[in-house]
This record gives sequence, C-alpha cells and structure tokens, in this order.
Amino acid sequence: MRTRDQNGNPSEKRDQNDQPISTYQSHALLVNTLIGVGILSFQRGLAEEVGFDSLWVILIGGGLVWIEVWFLTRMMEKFPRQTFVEVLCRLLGSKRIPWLGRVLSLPFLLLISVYWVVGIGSVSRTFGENVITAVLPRTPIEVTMLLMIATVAVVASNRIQTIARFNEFLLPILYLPIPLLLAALIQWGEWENILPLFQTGWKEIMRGAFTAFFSYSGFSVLFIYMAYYQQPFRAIRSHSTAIGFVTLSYWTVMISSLFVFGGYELPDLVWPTLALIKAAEIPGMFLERLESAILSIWVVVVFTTMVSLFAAWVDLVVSVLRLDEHWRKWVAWGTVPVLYLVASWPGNLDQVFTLNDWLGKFEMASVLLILLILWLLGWIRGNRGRNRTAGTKNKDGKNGGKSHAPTSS
Amino acid sequence: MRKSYTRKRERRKKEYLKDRSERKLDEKVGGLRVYTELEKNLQFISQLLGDATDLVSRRFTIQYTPNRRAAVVYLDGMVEVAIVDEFVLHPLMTEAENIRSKSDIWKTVRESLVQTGEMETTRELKTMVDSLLSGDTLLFVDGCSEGLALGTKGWARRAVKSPRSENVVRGPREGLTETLRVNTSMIRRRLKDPDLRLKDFKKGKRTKTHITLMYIEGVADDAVVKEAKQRMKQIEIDGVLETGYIEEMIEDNTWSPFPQIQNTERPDTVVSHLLEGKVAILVDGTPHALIIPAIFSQFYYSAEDYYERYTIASFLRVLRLVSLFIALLLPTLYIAFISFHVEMIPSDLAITLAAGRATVPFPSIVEALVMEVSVEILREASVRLPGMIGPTIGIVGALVVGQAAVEAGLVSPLMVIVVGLTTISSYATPSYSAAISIRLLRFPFMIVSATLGLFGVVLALLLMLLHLIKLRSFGVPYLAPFTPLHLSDLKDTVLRMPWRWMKKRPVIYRPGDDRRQRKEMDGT
Repeated sequence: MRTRDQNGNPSEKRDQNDQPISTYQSHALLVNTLIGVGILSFQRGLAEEVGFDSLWVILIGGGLVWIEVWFLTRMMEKFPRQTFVEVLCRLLGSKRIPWLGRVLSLPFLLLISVYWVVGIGSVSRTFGENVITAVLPRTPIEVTMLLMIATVAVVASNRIQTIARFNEFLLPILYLPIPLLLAALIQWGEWENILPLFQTGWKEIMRGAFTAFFSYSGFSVLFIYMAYYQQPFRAIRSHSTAIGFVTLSYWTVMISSLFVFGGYELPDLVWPTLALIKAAEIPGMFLERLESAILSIWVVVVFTTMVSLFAAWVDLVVSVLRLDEHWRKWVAWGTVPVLYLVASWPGNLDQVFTLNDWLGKFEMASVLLILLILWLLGWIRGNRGRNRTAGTKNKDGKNGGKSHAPTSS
Repeated sequence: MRKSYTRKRERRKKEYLKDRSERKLDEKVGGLRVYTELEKNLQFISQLLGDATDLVSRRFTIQYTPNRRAAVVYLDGMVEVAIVDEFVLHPLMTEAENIRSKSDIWKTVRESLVQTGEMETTRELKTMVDSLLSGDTLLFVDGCSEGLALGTKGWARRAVKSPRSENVVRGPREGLTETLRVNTSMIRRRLKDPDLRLKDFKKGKRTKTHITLMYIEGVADDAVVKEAKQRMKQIEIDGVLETGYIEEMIEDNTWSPFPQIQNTERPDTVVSHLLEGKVAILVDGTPHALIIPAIFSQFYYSAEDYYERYTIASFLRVLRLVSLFIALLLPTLYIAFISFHVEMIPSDLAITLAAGRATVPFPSIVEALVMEVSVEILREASVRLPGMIGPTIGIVGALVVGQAAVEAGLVSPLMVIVVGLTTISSYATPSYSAAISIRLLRFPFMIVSATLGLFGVVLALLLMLLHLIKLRSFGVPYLAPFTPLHLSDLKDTVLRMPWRWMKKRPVIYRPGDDRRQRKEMDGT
C-alpha cells in the first residue's frame, strides 16, 4: 500500500517503517548522492578546460548547482507529500479523462528516467574501470559491475525511508579519507604549482563549470525524495548545507591535487584523486599502500549514489504504474539487465568520460525544463491545484511549515 | 495489502472458532464440580493422575460431634511438608472445638482453622487439580460441595548465586534463579515503586509454565507493553522450558542472525532496563529474563558500565567496539590481504609473512577456515566439559595444537595469532547471544573475502547494514540512536557520559515519563 493516499496526504495507517525523512537525513541523502564517482576524476576534466583556474571554477559549478537546487526545492515545497510524478499527472490531467495526465507527463518522466538509468550504468562502469585498474586487475570488469549493480538493486528495492536511513548511517564514512588528502597536501604541496591564476576567458570558464556538473549531478532525485520529507519547508536549509559541504569537499580535493600535481600534470592523470592518496605517507602506518583501503571506502560512496538514483527510478516506475509496495523488488530486478547493458555500452574509458560529461549537462537541462513546465502549469492551472489539496499555494504551505517548526526543534 | 488484510481477518475468524470449540471441550472435561462425597473426590484425583506414586492423600477426622471426615491431598516434594503439618493438619485435628454448629463447619474451617496465607475456594475440580499440580495442597471435607486450595508451594530451590554468564568486578553478585517468585522478589526489592506492574500468563498446554511480564507503568511505552501482551497471547505451544522459547516466538525477525531481545541473568540489569522504559519477561524454571525492546548497541553494554566511573566505562566500551570489529573481520581481512591486496602489507612484514607461509600447502581461505573451525570445536568442547577440565582443554588445544601445526608447516604463525585474537575478542562481548551471531557471520564474510577481496567484503557489509537498518525490535529501530539519529541518546552509546549529563531517559524507547533527574538537582 502506498504511504500516501490519492490526494497526496499522508495516509493514516503508516507503520513505523514509514517514519518520514528527517532534516538531517535529507542532508545526508543529498551529500551522498552528489559525491559519487565524480570525486575520483573530476579534476582532470576541469584542468583540461581551465587549467590552473579550476581552483575556483569548481566553486562556480557548485554555485550554479546550488541555484538550481534552490529552485527545485522551492518548487517541490509547494507540493508537500507528493512526488513530481503525481504533481505532473495532476497538473497535466483532466477530470473527465483520467489517463490523460499520465500519458502527457510521460515524455518528461522519460527524460528524467533516462538520466537516472544511464547515470547508474555509467557510474557503475566508471567505478568498475577504477576497481579493475587499481585493486582487482585479474577480475573481469563484467563481474565487478554486475555485482555492484545487483547489490545496489537489493538495497534500492526498499522504501525510500529505509534508503534515507541507510544514507544517514553511512554519511560519516565520507570524512574518513580527508586526513589522507591533507597529509598529501602538506607533504607534497608546492605553492608554485597553483600559479598562474586567472589566465582563462569567460567562455572557457563557463565550459569548465558545465564540465563540473557531472561531479555535482544526481540532485534530480529530490523530485522524488522531497515527497517523503517530514518538513519540506525546512528542506532549503539542509539542501544548502549539503551543497555547501559537497562544494567544500570538492574544493579541498581540487586544491590538494593542484598543489601536488600542478595544472600541467593534472590533465594527464586518469585517476588524480587516487594518485593523490598514493602519494600520502603517514609515519607509523601499519598498512603500506592505501589504494585498496581508500577504494573500499569509495565503494560505499559510489554505492550510495547509485542507490539514490536507482531508488528514485524504482519509485518513479511504481508510482506511474500505481503498483503495490512489493513490486519495488521486481522493478529493481527487472532493471538490472538494462543497467548492465548501459554500463557495458561505452567502448572504452574515454567514451565513459564523455558520456559522464554529457550526463551532467543533460541532468541540468532536463531539471530546468521540468521546473519550467511545473512553474508554467502551476501558473496556468493555479486555481485548480489550490482547490484539490491544502497547502498547494506557497503562502499557505509556508505558514503551515513554520507553525510546526517550534515543536520539532 | 487489501488481500493480506482480508486474509488476516479470515485467519482471525478461524482462530476464534477454534478457540470456541476448545472452550466447549474444556467445559465437558473440566466442568466437573467437587463431589459432596469425600471418597469420590479422592478417587477422581488419583484416577486422573494415574495412581501417581508421589500423590499423598491424608484422611483424617475433624473432631466435632458428629465427626466429620476430611482429607488433604498434595504432591510429595512440591509442598512444604512442615507447613501442611503444622498449619493445616494440626489445627484441623486439635482445634475443632471452635466449630459452633454443624452448618458452620465449612465456614470455620475456611476462616479460622486453616492457617495458610494463600487460599482459594472453588467448586471446579479442574482448577483444583491445576493447583495441586503447581504445588498447592487441596483440602476436602466430606459433605461440602467446595474444596480449598492452600498455598503451600515449596520445593528444592537453588540458592541465589552469582550469575554464571555475566560476571562483573563491581556490582551486585546476585543472579536470578529458577524460581519465578524469588526472581520477582529480587526485582521488587530493588525497585520499590508502586507503579511496577506484573502481568501473569500461563503458557504451555502441558507444562503450564508461569510467565510474568514486568514493566513500570507510566515509564514504559504503552504501545510496547500492549504489543508484548498481544504477542504473548498468541503463543500456542505444549511446553515452555526456557525464555528461549518465548524469545523465538515473539521476536520480530526469526531469520535474522542478530538477537532482537536481550536476555540477562542479573536482577540489577533487569531493573536498569525497566527504568529505561522497557519490559521484562520472566519465566518460571529458568534464571534468564528477557528484555524488550532491544537495540544493537545494548548487547555491547555491561552492567558494570554504569557502576564504574564513566571514564573507565567509556574506555571499556570503545575496547568492546574494537573487539567487535576484530571478531567479525580480522580473519576476513587476513584473507583479503594475503590473496588480493598484498601491496597493503608493509614490505618487511610481507617478507616475514611470505617466509611463514612458504611451507603452507593451502590457500589462505582453507588455512583460515580450518583454523577457525577447529577453534570453534575447541570452544564448544570446553563449554561441554565438566568443571576443571574445560580450561585445560582450551590451553591444550590452543597452545599445543597451534604450535604443533605451525611447526608442521600446516598453518602460518600469523594465522595462529589471527585466530587467537579473533577468539579472545569475541569473548569480550558481554552478551553471549550477540557474540554467537558475530561468530556465525564471520564465516560468510571469510568466503566473500576469498572470492572478491575487500571490494566484496564492503558490499557484504553494506548488505548487512541494510538488514540491520530494516530490523526492528517491538517498533524500535535496531540501529537507533545512530539511525534514525537521536543526538541526545548518543550520550549512552559508544561512550558512557556521566550520570549528571543524562537527565532524561533514552527517547528511542518513547518513555512515558522522560525525566530521570529533576531540574532542581542540577547544582549538586
């Protein structure tokens, strides 16, 4: 049974597995979704475009993403406890022809699901390539990819609330490699390596920022997840801190790799972050080389990204087809072969990186498009939406949220 | 959902009908009233028990004109014979002059002659037989259509001794015993609170085991109490010999390797959990009490954590956490490092390691499995062996066999260290049931590690995490307070903060009254 009834109000009979997503969980969810496979290699693409200036262009990328997430959050706030699937169906549909909304919203849903499905595939491919080059050279990439996808499917076939708690628990693991990065920075960093700055034109900078999008990609899952938030009206804060945190950690990685490798060497490294960790030497360590250890932490990081995208996709299918809760499992397992095909589609690593680049921009564009459509439709059919559900209008909803705030804080 | 709902309703309906038919059957057999003729009663009872040899029927005469025949019936060994002699038989036989009239006999016997505290008058023969079987003494008087069940329970009891399974250096040395009443008394003595509630159940069609549910009203979450009672009611079994029966029948997920209900032998632990707003279940005949709901981390707390100063307690808790990881993952990591990630081992150590492993004819997984399995066998053997021989076997097995195996070149010296550390670490877990589940999980992890290296181990850990996240114990998430995160409850998890900081009860158990300390006490 769905946790929401037809009008999008929380259903009365929710059992305890359906505790809505808390503010901290939403923060963890977004951080874990954004930081993914991108952190292993984003420096290379960026350095190719803007060279030394990637030091601050990465911040521009973060800023742009923050703006888009801000719009997204504000838009979804207007529809508490509803995913954008339900919102689109309602806004595009009509009372007389019930199926019209679903059919009309299909193109938009398809747009975003293409991103999710291809995204999971390419992430698993990128990580699989990394695993076979760094730690398991004799294992075929198909095995690592399939294992990863299958394990992700097991997790993603759960309720969104379970996935939020999964992310909540795993968030602290992200902090573990930070001391190593700093150690590398302190040991090998040279001031001369980051200079000269401000050598690139505006065009390149914009192109660089767009390249950075892939490392920030994945925020479109908020379209689904915000429906399960306990307090959608406080989401803007947790989302901002999440984006801020992600930007900061990318910036730390960027600075460390620039300081250590410099702008000329960086474009030649396939996995700059891994090279950085390799360079770090901590006295008294009882482990000699840390790639395997670090990669096993990154399994977690990449895993959470894939789970987020996958669960969003499963939820989308389940709500479009109006399936029962137990269908999640079958939707997830049914997608596994498709994901595997997508993952093995690029011919070589270079094509994988091109695909990733394209994916980042694609998500940015499709989210913008959907937001625009939602805004236009809300504007045109505003009256109707307000009649259907309480809190659709921004002002009403906001007040409702604020009145709840003191009791929970 | 719809379908399962109707199915549930149908099942309930069926159960109700079955219950009703059983009730009818009960009425047929058990509807028998106490006969007015004394001999008929005695005959019925001895027939029902199949002329049991421990059945004692003592016929005597109440000295009142005209003399009245009477009899006491009890099971030898189940009653305190001294009480029966002195406070039942003696007054009835010698002080009958108090009886004023013939019609007064029964009333006087009941009111003033029999001198036991617990007494029940009944007309039902079945209830009387039930009382007889649980250690009461029955009194029949000829010509009366009622019988008396006198509370004279008394049998050989084990003295209160220090608990075998949960030792502490500092703290009470009393452990629960096999007698339920003694156990409840030990708990009451520590918790003189009028709000302490005891709810009784009789489970087991044949054993008719006495089970008591204990909680503090107003502190325990009503929903948990209600759910516990509900689940207790649904138990349907012929015998309950240990709390394990109950545990398995009321736990949330029977297939999980993790215990979702804690058991303890210590009355002080029971009380401390009751004060946190939990529910305890005591079963007659076993010194282990159940505590619900349970979270993962509480299996790594020892009663002593709260008795020792908080710095020491916190340090010990961190140690236990480390030992948990060692017990679960050390052999796994050994296998992964040896077979996949040799580059992680420092070069000097790698050379020694290679030299140690040079004579070993097996891959590391076989080596590890053989050693782990033999250690498990040793452990099991030393648990079963009587008294003094147990530790000896452990030493012989671990030291002598291990050393010989290394010298024979069957296992590498590091493997012996790994196995030794793993075993010792799993002993550091205060709860035996939690330690045993970790012991069990070690083996799948080792196999995963041998096939996929660290990558596979991490994936397996993630799946285990998913299972833990989905697991619940009576509505409380198993990984609380870590997820869902409750910052205030983190004070009593990995570290044990000073009592002064823990003014509130843990919120994850949703206690009714959430304050442990009053605000006025802040300054002291």
